[in-house]
Amino acid sequence: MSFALHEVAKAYGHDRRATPALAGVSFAARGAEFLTIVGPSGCGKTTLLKIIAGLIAPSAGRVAFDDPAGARLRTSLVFQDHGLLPWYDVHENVALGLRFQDVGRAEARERARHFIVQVGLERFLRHHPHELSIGMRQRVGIARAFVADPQILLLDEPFGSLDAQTKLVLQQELLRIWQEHRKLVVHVTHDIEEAILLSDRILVMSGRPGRIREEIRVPFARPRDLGVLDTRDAADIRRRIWDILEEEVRQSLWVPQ
Amino acid sequence: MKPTAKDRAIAAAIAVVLFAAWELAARNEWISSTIFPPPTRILAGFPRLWREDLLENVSLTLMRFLGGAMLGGIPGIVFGLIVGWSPRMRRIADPFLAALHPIPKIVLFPLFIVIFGVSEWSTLAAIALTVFFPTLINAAAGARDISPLYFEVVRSYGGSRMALFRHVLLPGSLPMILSGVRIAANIGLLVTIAIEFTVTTRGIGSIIWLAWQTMRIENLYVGVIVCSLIGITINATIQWLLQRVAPWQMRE
Repeated sequence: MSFALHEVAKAYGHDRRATPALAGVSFAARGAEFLTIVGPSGCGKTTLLKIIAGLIAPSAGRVAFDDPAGARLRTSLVFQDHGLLPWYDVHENVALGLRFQDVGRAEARERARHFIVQVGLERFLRHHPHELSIGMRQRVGIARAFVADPQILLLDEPFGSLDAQTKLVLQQELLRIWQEHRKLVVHVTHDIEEAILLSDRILVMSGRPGRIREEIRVPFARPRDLGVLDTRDAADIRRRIWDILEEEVRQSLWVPQ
Repeated sequence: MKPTAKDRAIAAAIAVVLFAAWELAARNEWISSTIFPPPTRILAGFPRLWREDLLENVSLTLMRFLGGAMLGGIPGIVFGLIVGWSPRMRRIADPFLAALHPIPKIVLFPLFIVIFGVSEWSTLAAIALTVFFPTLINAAAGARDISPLYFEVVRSYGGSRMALFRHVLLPGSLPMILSGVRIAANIGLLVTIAIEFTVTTRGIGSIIWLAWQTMRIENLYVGVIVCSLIGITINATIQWLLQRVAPWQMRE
Protein backbone atom coordinates (compact mmCIF):
# COMPACT_ATOMS: atom_id res chain seq x y z
CA MET A 1 0.00 0.00 0.00
CA SER A 2 1.44 3.38 -0.86
CA PHE A 3 0.65 6.82 -2.14
CA ALA A 4 2.51 10.01 -2.93
CA LEU A 5 1.73 13.71 -3.01
CA HIS A 6 3.31 15.75 -5.77
CA GLU A 7 3.54 19.50 -5.20
CA VAL A 8 0.07 19.64 -3.71
CA ALA A 9 -1.13 23.21 -3.12
CA LYS A 10 -4.43 24.58 -1.93
CA ALA A 11 -5.79 28.10 -1.74
CA TYR A 12 -9.20 29.08 -0.41
CA GLY A 13 -11.22 31.81 -2.11
CA HIS A 14 -10.63 33.26 -5.56
CA ASP A 15 -8.15 35.43 -7.40
CA ARG A 16 -6.53 38.19 -5.40
CA ARG A 17 -8.39 37.48 -2.21
CA ALA A 18 -7.28 33.84 -2.23
CA THR A 19 -5.70 32.66 1.02
CA PRO A 20 -3.04 30.05 0.47
CA ALA A 21 -3.32 27.11 2.89
CA LEU A 22 -0.79 24.69 1.41
CA ALA A 23 2.19 25.55 -0.77
CA GLY A 24 3.67 22.68 -2.75
CA VAL A 25 3.63 19.73 -0.39
CA SER A 26 5.35 16.54 -1.58
CA PHE A 27 5.90 13.32 0.31
CA ALA A 28 5.32 9.60 -0.04
CA ALA A 29 4.10 7.01 2.44
CA ARG A 30 4.13 3.25 2.10
CA GLY A 31 3.60 -0.09 3.78
CA ALA A 32 2.05 -0.11 7.20
CA GLU A 33 4.00 2.84 8.52
CA PHE A 34 2.69 5.33 11.04
CA LEU A 35 3.41 8.74 9.58
CA THR A 36 2.77 11.88 11.62
CA ILE A 37 2.66 15.42 10.32
CA VAL A 38 3.43 18.00 13.01
CA GLY A 39 2.82 21.65 12.43
CA PRO A 40 1.69 24.87 14.08
CA SER A 41 -2.05 25.49 14.18
CA GLY A 42 -3.47 26.85 10.95
CA CYS A 43 -0.72 25.37 8.78
CA GLY A 44 -3.15 23.42 6.60
CA LYS A 45 -2.71 20.00 8.23
CA THR A 46 -6.44 19.26 8.17
CA THR A 47 -6.67 20.49 4.56
CA LEU A 48 -3.91 18.04 3.67
CA LEU A 49 -5.81 15.09 5.18
CA LYS A 50 -9.04 16.10 3.46
CA ILE A 51 -7.22 16.23 0.13
CA ILE A 52 -5.91 12.67 0.69
CA ALA A 53 -9.43 11.59 1.72
CA GLY A 54 -10.83 13.10 -1.50
CA LEU A 55 -13.10 15.49 0.39
CA ILE A 56 -11.53 18.55 -1.21
CA ALA A 57 -9.65 18.92 -4.47
CA PRO A 58 -6.15 20.47 -4.49
CA SER A 59 -5.70 23.74 -6.38
CA ALA A 60 -2.48 22.38 -7.88
CA GLY A 61 -0.44 19.19 -7.80
CA ARG A 62 -1.83 15.69 -7.42
CA VAL A 63 -2.15 12.67 -5.17
CA ALA A 64 -0.97 9.43 -6.79
CA PHE A 65 -2.25 6.19 -5.31
CA ASP A 66 -0.57 2.85 -5.81
CA ASP A 67 -3.40 1.17 -7.66
CA PRO A 68 -3.23 -0.60 -11.01
CA ALA A 69 -6.32 1.28 -12.23
CA GLY A 70 -5.12 4.53 -10.68
CA ALA A 71 -8.19 4.60 -8.42
CA ARG A 72 -8.01 6.25 -5.04
CA LEU A 73 -7.36 3.99 -2.10
CA ARG A 74 -10.05 3.48 0.50
CA THR A 75 -9.52 5.92 3.37
CA SER A 76 -11.09 6.38 6.80
CA LEU A 77 -10.83 9.76 8.46
CA VAL A 78 -11.00 10.13 12.23
CA PHE A 79 -12.26 13.64 12.90
CA GLN A 80 -10.97 15.93 15.61
CA ASP A 81 -14.39 16.27 17.23
CA HIS A 82 -15.28 12.61 16.62
CA GLY A 83 -17.93 13.43 13.99
CA LEU A 84 -20.44 10.91 15.31
CA LEU A 85 -23.94 11.46 14.00
CA PRO A 86 -26.02 12.54 17.02
CA TRP A 87 -29.19 10.86 15.67
CA TYR A 88 -27.58 7.40 15.54
CA ASP A 89 -26.59 5.18 18.45
CA VAL A 90 -23.10 3.76 18.89
CA HIS A 91 -23.87 0.61 16.90
CA GLU A 92 -25.33 2.51 13.93
CA ASN A 93 -22.51 5.06 14.00
CA VAL A 94 -19.83 2.40 13.79
CA ALA A 95 -21.73 0.42 11.14
CA LEU A 96 -21.88 3.63 9.07
CA GLY A 97 -18.22 3.01 8.19
CA LEU A 98 -19.34 -0.02 6.15
CA ARG A 99 -22.72 1.21 4.98
CA PHE A 100 -21.49 2.49 1.62
CA GLN A 101 -19.31 -0.48 0.76
CA ASP A 102 -20.59 -3.72 -0.73
CA VAL A 103 -21.42 -5.15 2.65
CA GLY A 104 -24.88 -6.38 3.64
CA ARG A 105 -26.65 -4.59 6.46
CA ALA A 106 -26.52 -7.60 8.80
CA GLU A 107 -22.82 -8.18 8.17
CA ALA A 108 -22.06 -4.49 8.65
CA ARG A 109 -23.78 -4.57 12.03
CA GLU A 110 -21.97 -7.76 13.02
CA ARG A 111 -18.55 -6.37 12.12
CA ALA A 112 -19.38 -3.09 13.84
CA ARG A 113 -20.28 -5.01 16.95
CA HIS A 114 -16.96 -6.83 16.83
CA PHE A 115 -15.01 -3.57 16.85
CA ILE A 116 -17.14 -2.01 19.54
CA VAL A 117 -16.30 -5.02 21.71
CA GLN A 118 -12.64 -4.48 20.86
CA VAL A 119 -12.69 -0.92 22.17
CA GLY A 120 -14.55 -2.20 25.23
CA LEU A 121 -17.82 -0.32 24.65
CA GLU A 122 -20.24 -3.24 24.15
CA ARG A 123 -22.29 -2.03 27.09
CA PHE A 124 -22.97 1.21 25.21
CA LEU A 125 -24.15 -0.22 21.86
CA ARG A 126 -27.54 1.42 22.15
CA HIS A 127 -26.36 4.71 23.65
CA HIS A 128 -26.38 7.91 21.67
CA PRO A 129 -23.22 10.05 21.45
CA HIS A 130 -24.60 12.70 23.83
CA GLU A 131 -24.79 10.05 26.55
CA LEU A 132 -21.05 9.28 26.32
CA SER A 133 -17.99 11.13 27.63
CA ILE A 134 -15.76 12.87 25.08
CA GLY A 135 -13.12 10.16 25.43
CA MET A 136 -15.68 7.42 24.80
CA ARG A 137 -17.01 9.26 21.76
CA GLN A 138 -13.55 9.39 20.24
CA ARG A 139 -13.10 5.66 20.83
CA VAL A 140 -16.33 5.09 18.92
CA GLY A 141 -14.94 7.34 16.18
CA ILE A 142 -11.78 5.22 16.05
CA ALA A 143 -13.81 1.99 15.95
CA ARG A 144 -15.83 3.39 13.03
CA ALA A 145 -12.64 4.20 11.13
CA PHE A 146 -11.17 0.71 11.67
CA VAL A 147 -14.35 -1.20 10.85
CA ALA A 148 -14.35 0.30 7.35
CA ASP A 149 -11.07 -1.58 6.86
CA PRO A 150 -9.38 1.33 5.10
CA GLN A 151 -6.20 1.04 3.08
CA ILE A 152 -5.12 4.38 4.55
CA LEU A 153 -6.20 5.53 8.01
CA LEU A 154 -6.25 9.31 8.40
CA LEU A 155 -6.20 10.79 11.90
CA ASP A 156 -6.99 14.51 12.28
CA GLU A 157 -5.82 15.47 15.78
CA PRO A 158 -7.96 12.68 17.20
CA PHE A 159 -6.92 13.45 20.78
CA GLY A 160 -6.87 17.23 20.45
CA SER A 161 -9.96 17.90 22.53
CA LEU A 162 -9.14 15.44 25.34
CA ASP A 163 -7.64 16.16 28.75
CA ALA A 164 -4.01 15.13 29.25
CA GLN A 165 -4.72 11.89 31.14
CA THR A 166 -7.48 10.63 28.85
CA LYS A 167 -5.20 11.43 25.95
CA LEU A 168 -2.41 9.17 27.31
CA VAL A 169 -4.78 6.25 27.73
CA LEU A 170 -6.36 6.64 24.29
CA GLN A 171 -2.98 6.91 22.59
CA GLN A 172 -2.10 3.50 24.05
CA GLU A 173 -5.50 2.18 22.95
CA LEU A 174 -4.94 3.38 19.42
CA LEU A 175 -1.51 1.72 19.31
CA ARG A 176 -2.99 -1.54 20.60
CA ILE A 177 -5.73 -1.67 17.95
CA TRP A 178 -3.33 -0.57 15.23
CA GLN A 179 -0.87 -3.31 16.30
CA GLU A 180 -3.65 -5.84 15.58
CA HIS A 181 -4.83 -4.26 12.33
CA ARG A 182 -1.66 -2.84 10.84
CA LYS A 183 -2.23 -0.36 8.06
CA LEU A 184 -0.81 2.82 6.64
CA VAL A 185 -1.60 5.75 8.95
CA VAL A 186 -1.30 9.46 8.26
CA HIS A 187 -1.71 11.30 11.54
CA VAL A 188 -1.83 15.04 12.03
CA THR A 189 -1.14 16.77 15.34
CA HIS A 190 0.44 19.81 16.96
CA ASP A 191 1.49 17.70 19.95
CA ILE A 192 5.21 16.87 19.73
CA GLU A 193 5.15 14.20 22.47
CA GLU A 194 2.27 12.45 20.74
CA ALA A 195 4.12 12.46 17.44
CA ILE A 196 7.21 10.85 19.01
CA LEU A 197 5.21 8.26 20.93
CA LEU A 198 3.11 7.06 17.99
CA SER A 199 5.10 7.46 14.78
CA ASP A 200 7.64 5.69 12.64
CA ARG A 201 8.33 8.89 10.75
CA ILE A 202 7.54 12.55 11.42
CA LEU A 203 7.17 15.34 8.88
CA VAL A 204 7.45 18.85 10.31
CA MET A 205 5.41 21.51 8.56
CA SER A 206 5.87 25.25 8.35
CA GLY A 207 3.21 27.79 9.24
CA ARG A 208 0.63 28.95 6.73
CA PRO A 209 0.91 28.35 3.85
CA GLY A 210 2.12 24.91 4.89
CA ARG A 211 5.08 23.11 3.35
CA ILE A 212 7.25 20.25 4.60
CA ARG A 213 10.32 21.56 6.43
CA GLU A 214 11.92 18.39 7.75
CA GLU A 215 11.64 14.61 7.89
CA ILE A 216 12.58 12.72 11.06
CA ARG A 217 12.74 8.95 11.59
CA VAL A 218 11.66 7.64 14.96
CA PRO A 219 13.83 4.64 15.82
CA PHE A 220 11.92 3.05 18.71
CA ALA A 221 10.85 -0.61 18.54
CA ARG A 222 7.21 -1.63 18.94
CA PRO A 223 5.19 -2.25 20.98
CA ARG A 224 6.10 0.96 22.77
CA ASP A 225 5.14 2.47 26.07
CA LEU A 226 5.47 5.93 27.57
CA GLY A 227 9.05 5.05 28.61
CA VAL A 228 10.37 5.85 25.11
CA LEU A 229 9.71 9.52 25.75
CA ASP A 230 12.40 9.57 28.47
CA THR A 231 15.23 8.36 26.19
CA ARG A 232 18.09 10.42 24.74
CA ASP A 233 16.76 9.78 21.22
CA ALA A 234 13.40 11.21 22.15
CA ALA A 235 15.04 14.30 23.62
CA ASP A 236 16.99 14.81 20.40
CA ILE A 237 13.91 14.46 18.23
CA ARG A 238 11.95 16.80 20.47
CA ARG A 239 14.72 19.37 20.16
CA ARG A 240 14.87 19.07 16.36
CA ILE A 241 11.11 19.47 16.01
CA TRP A 242 10.89 22.37 18.41
CA ASP A 243 13.76 24.26 16.74
CA ILE A 244 11.66 24.40 13.59
CA LEU A 245 8.29 24.88 15.20
CA GLU A 246 9.41 27.64 17.55
CA GLU A 247 10.60 29.68 14.61
CA GLU A 248 7.33 29.06 12.74
CA VAL A 249 5.11 29.84 15.69
CA ARG A 250 7.01 33.02 16.54
CA GLN A 251 6.68 34.14 12.95
CA SER A 252 2.96 33.49 12.88
CA LEU A 253 2.48 35.40 16.15
CA TRP A 254 4.85 38.25 15.11
CA VAL A 255 7.01 37.54 18.16
CA PRO A 256 10.63 38.68 17.40
CA GLN A 257 13.12 35.80 16.90
CA MET B 1 -36.83 20.99 36.34
CA LYS B 2 -39.71 18.56 36.12
CA PRO B 3 -42.78 19.18 38.31
CA THR B 4 -42.76 17.08 41.47
CA ALA B 5 -45.77 15.13 42.79
CA LYS B 6 -46.35 18.02 45.17
CA ASP B 7 -46.36 20.61 42.34
CA ARG B 8 -48.89 18.49 40.46
CA ALA B 9 -51.09 18.12 43.54
CA ILE B 10 -51.12 21.88 44.07
CA ALA B 11 -52.00 22.54 40.41
CA ALA B 12 -54.80 19.95 40.56
CA ALA B 13 -56.14 21.48 43.78
CA ILE B 14 -56.25 24.95 42.21
CA ALA B 15 -58.19 23.57 39.24
CA VAL B 16 -60.70 21.82 41.51
CA VAL B 17 -61.21 24.97 43.59
CA LEU B 18 -61.73 27.11 40.46
CA PHE B 19 -64.33 24.72 39.04
CA ALA B 20 -66.10 24.44 42.40
CA ALA B 21 -66.22 28.22 42.70
CA TRP B 22 -67.64 28.51 39.17
CA GLU B 23 -70.24 25.82 39.89
CA LEU B 24 -71.28 27.53 43.12
CA ALA B 25 -71.37 31.02 41.63
CA ALA B 26 -73.42 29.92 38.62
CA ARG B 27 -75.93 27.89 40.66
CA ASN B 28 -76.55 30.83 42.97
CA GLU B 29 -76.76 33.25 40.00
CA TRP B 30 -73.85 35.35 41.37
CA ILE B 31 -72.74 35.15 37.75
CA SER B 32 -75.14 34.70 34.86
CA SER B 33 -75.78 30.96 34.43
CA THR B 34 -76.90 31.68 30.87
CA ILE B 35 -73.48 32.97 29.84
CA PHE B 36 -71.48 30.85 32.31
CA PRO B 37 -73.49 27.64 32.79
CA PRO B 38 -72.23 25.55 35.74
CA PRO B 39 -69.56 22.99 34.69
CA THR B 40 -71.84 20.04 35.53
CA ARG B 41 -74.43 21.31 33.06
CA ILE B 42 -71.73 21.71 30.37
CA LEU B 43 -70.66 18.11 30.97
CA ALA B 44 -74.29 17.00 30.64
CA GLY B 45 -74.23 18.65 27.21
CA PHE B 46 -71.79 16.00 25.94
CA PRO B 47 -74.15 12.97 25.89
CA ARG B 48 -76.89 15.14 24.40
CA LEU B 49 -74.68 16.47 21.60
CA TRP B 50 -73.33 12.95 21.13
CA ARG B 51 -76.81 11.81 20.23
CA GLU B 52 -77.07 14.79 17.86
CA ASP B 53 -74.02 13.36 15.96
CA LEU B 54 -71.20 15.25 17.72
CA LEU B 55 -68.84 12.55 16.50
CA GLU B 56 -69.72 13.20 12.87
CA ASN B 57 -69.07 16.91 13.28
CA VAL B 58 -65.76 16.28 15.03
CA SER B 59 -64.57 13.86 12.34
CA LEU B 60 -65.60 16.30 9.61
CA THR B 61 -63.52 19.04 11.22
CA LEU B 62 -60.60 16.66 11.71
CA MET B 63 -60.80 15.52 8.09
CA ARG B 64 -60.74 19.09 6.81
CA PHE B 65 -57.87 19.93 9.11
CA LEU B 66 -55.78 16.81 8.41
CA GLY B 67 -56.52 16.89 4.68
CA GLY B 68 -55.48 20.53 4.40
CA ALA B 69 -52.44 19.92 6.60
CA MET B 70 -51.27 17.05 4.35
CA LEU B 71 -51.90 19.05 1.17
CA GLY B 72 -49.82 21.95 2.48
CA GLY B 73 -47.44 20.26 4.89
CA ILE B 74 -45.90 17.61 2.68
CA PRO B 75 -44.92 20.02 -0.12
CA GLY B 76 -43.85 22.48 2.59
CA ILE B 77 -41.41 19.98 4.08
CA VAL B 78 -40.09 18.88 0.68
CA PHE B 79 -39.54 22.45 -0.55
CA GLY B 80 -38.09 23.40 2.81
CA LEU B 81 -35.47 20.66 2.65
CA ILE B 82 -34.54 21.65 -0.91
CA VAL B 83 -34.31 25.34 -0.03
CA GLY B 84 -32.31 24.54 3.13
CA TRP B 85 -29.90 22.23 1.37
CA SER B 86 -29.10 24.24 -1.73
CA PRO B 87 -27.71 27.74 -1.14
CA ARG B 88 -28.67 28.70 -4.68
CA MET B 89 -32.31 27.63 -4.21
CA ARG B 90 -32.33 29.61 -0.98
CA ARG B 91 -31.12 32.77 -2.70
CA ILE B 92 -33.83 32.38 -5.33
CA ALA B 93 -36.63 31.50 -2.91
CA ASP B 94 -35.84 34.03 -0.17
CA PRO B 95 -37.59 37.08 -1.70
CA PHE B 96 -40.72 35.03 -2.41
CA LEU B 97 -40.81 33.71 1.14
CA ALA B 98 -40.22 37.16 2.59
CA ALA B 99 -43.12 38.51 0.53
CA LEU B 100 -45.62 35.68 0.99
CA HIS B 101 -44.93 34.28 4.45
CA PRO B 102 -46.20 37.28 6.48
CA ILE B 103 -49.59 37.36 4.71
CA PRO B 104 -52.27 35.93 6.99
CA LYS B 105 -53.43 33.29 4.51
CA ILE B 106 -57.05 33.45 5.72
CA VAL B 107 -57.43 36.74 3.84
CA LEU B 108 -57.22 34.72 0.64
CA PHE B 109 -60.19 32.57 1.63
CA PRO B 110 -62.75 34.74 -0.25
CA LEU B 111 -60.57 34.38 -3.33
CA PHE B 112 -60.62 30.61 -2.94
CA ILE B 113 -64.41 30.75 -2.75
CA VAL B 114 -64.41 32.61 -6.04
CA ILE B 115 -62.13 29.98 -7.54
CA PHE B 116 -63.54 26.78 -6.05
CA GLY B 117 -67.04 27.89 -5.05
CA VAL B 118 -68.41 27.29 -1.54
CA SER B 119 -67.03 23.77 -1.36
CA GLU B 120 -64.66 21.67 0.68
CA TRP B 121 -61.96 22.57 -1.86
CA SER B 122 -61.88 26.23 -0.87
CA THR B 123 -61.62 25.19 2.79
CA LEU B 124 -58.82 22.71 2.06
CA ALA B 125 -56.94 25.26 -0.04
CA ALA B 126 -56.99 27.88 2.72
CA ILE B 127 -55.80 25.38 5.35
CA ALA B 128 -53.11 23.97 3.03
CA LEU B 129 -51.71 27.41 2.26
CA THR B 130 -51.69 28.29 5.96
CA VAL B 131 -49.75 25.14 6.82
CA PHE B 132 -47.37 25.35 3.85
CA PHE B 133 -45.25 28.30 4.97
CA PRO B 134 -44.39 27.46 8.58
CA THR B 135 -43.50 23.87 7.63
CA LEU B 136 -41.34 25.13 4.76
CA ILE B 137 -39.54 27.74 6.83
CA ASN B 138 -38.80 25.37 9.68
CA ALA B 139 -37.67 22.50 7.44
CA ALA B 140 -35.36 24.94 5.62
CA ALA B 141 -33.93 26.23 8.91
CA GLY B 142 -33.45 22.65 10.13
CA ALA B 143 -31.60 21.63 6.98
CA ARG B 144 -29.47 24.76 6.96
CA ASP B 145 -28.38 24.41 10.59
CA ILE B 146 -26.93 20.91 10.21
CA SER B 147 -23.19 21.07 10.80
CA PRO B 148 -21.23 20.59 7.55
CA LEU B 149 -19.12 18.12 9.54
CA TYR B 150 -21.84 15.45 9.35
CA PHE B 151 -22.07 15.72 5.55
CA GLU B 152 -18.29 15.42 5.43
CA VAL B 153 -18.35 12.28 7.61
CA VAL B 154 -20.78 10.48 5.33
CA ARG B 155 -18.92 11.62 2.22
CA SER B 156 -15.60 10.45 3.67
CA TYR B 157 -16.98 6.92 3.99
CA GLY B 158 -18.13 6.98 0.38
CA GLY B 159 -21.75 8.06 0.83
CA SER B 160 -23.61 9.26 -2.29
CA ARG B 161 -25.94 12.27 -2.47
CA MET B 162 -28.80 9.90 -1.68
CA ALA B 163 -26.90 8.74 1.41
CA LEU B 164 -26.37 12.34 2.48
CA PHE B 165 -30.11 12.88 2.27
CA ARG B 166 -30.97 9.67 4.11
CA HIS B 167 -28.32 9.73 6.84
CA VAL B 168 -27.77 13.45 7.42
CA LEU B 169 -30.28 15.84 5.89
CA LEU B 170 -33.46 14.05 6.91
CA PRO B 171 -32.58 12.90 10.45
CA GLY B 172 -30.72 16.16 11.10
CA SER B 173 -33.65 18.39 10.19
CA LEU B 174 -36.35 16.18 11.69
CA PRO B 175 -36.50 18.03 15.04
CA MET B 176 -37.01 21.37 13.30
CA ILE B 177 -39.47 19.81 10.84
CA LEU B 178 -41.54 18.60 13.77
CA SER B 179 -41.53 21.96 15.52
CA GLY B 180 -42.65 23.46 12.22
CA VAL B 181 -45.44 20.90 12.05
CA ARG B 182 -46.48 21.84 15.58
CA ILE B 183 -46.67 25.55 14.77
CA ALA B 184 -48.43 24.84 11.47
CA ALA B 185 -50.93 22.47 13.12
CA ASN B 186 -51.95 25.06 15.69
CA ILE B 187 -52.51 27.76 13.07
CA GLY B 188 -54.13 25.23 10.76
CA LEU B 189 -56.66 24.25 13.42
CA LEU B 190 -57.42 27.91 14.06
CA VAL B 191 -58.08 28.53 10.37
CA THR B 192 -60.23 25.39 10.10
CA ILE B 193 -62.48 26.57 12.92
CA ALA B 194 -62.59 30.13 11.60
CA ILE B 195 -63.78 28.88 8.22
CA GLU B 196 -66.37 26.69 9.88
CA PHE B 197 -67.66 29.80 11.68
CA THR B 198 -68.31 31.54 8.41
CA VAL B 199 -69.36 29.25 5.59
CA THR B 200 -70.05 25.68 6.64
CA THR B 201 -73.09 24.29 8.41
CA ARG B 202 -71.34 21.28 9.91
CA GLY B 203 -68.17 20.80 11.96
CA ILE B 204 -67.16 21.93 15.44
CA GLY B 205 -66.81 25.54 14.36
CA SER B 206 -70.38 25.46 13.09
CA ILE B 207 -71.62 23.93 16.37
CA ILE B 208 -69.99 26.74 18.32
CA TRP B 209 -71.32 29.41 15.97
CA LEU B 210 -74.80 27.94 15.98
CA ALA B 211 -74.73 27.67 19.79
CA TRP B 212 -74.50 31.42 20.34
CA GLN B 213 -77.06 32.20 17.64
CA THR B 214 -79.58 29.86 19.25
CA MET B 215 -78.42 30.78 22.76
CA ARG B 216 -77.58 27.14 23.61
CA ILE B 217 -74.49 28.23 25.45
CA GLU B 218 -73.63 24.76 26.85
CA ASN B 219 -73.06 23.59 23.26
CA LEU B 220 -70.64 26.44 22.79
CA TYR B 221 -68.59 25.23 25.75
CA VAL B 222 -68.70 21.64 24.50
CA GLY B 223 -67.25 22.87 21.20
CA VAL B 224 -64.54 24.80 23.00
CA ILE B 225 -63.61 21.75 25.06
CA VAL B 226 -63.47 19.53 21.97
CA CYS B 227 -61.20 22.03 20.21
CA SER B 228 -58.94 22.18 23.26
CA LEU B 229 -58.71 18.39 23.35
CA ILE B 230 -57.73 18.29 19.67
CA GLY B 231 -55.06 20.94 20.26
CA ILE B 232 -53.69 19.15 23.31
CA THR B 233 -53.58 15.83 21.45
CA ILE B 234 -51.67 17.36 18.53
CA ASN B 235 -49.08 18.95 20.79
CA ALA B 236 -48.64 15.85 22.95
CA THR B 237 -48.20 13.65 19.86
CA ILE B 238 -45.53 15.90 18.42
CA GLN B 239 -43.76 16.16 21.77
CA TRP B 240 -43.73 12.37 21.96
CA LEU B 241 -42.40 12.09 18.40
CA LEU B 242 -39.68 14.63 19.16
CA GLN B 243 -38.53 12.58 22.12
CA ARG B 244 -38.33 9.49 19.93
CA VAL B 245 -36.52 10.98 16.94
CA ALA B 246 -34.32 13.57 18.64
CA PRO B 247 -33.40 12.37 22.13
CA TRP B 248 -30.08 14.22 21.88
CA GLN B 249 -31.91 17.54 21.67
CA MET B 250 -34.38 16.88 24.44
CA ARG B 251 -31.52 16.68 26.97
CA GLU B 252 -30.36 20.22 26.53
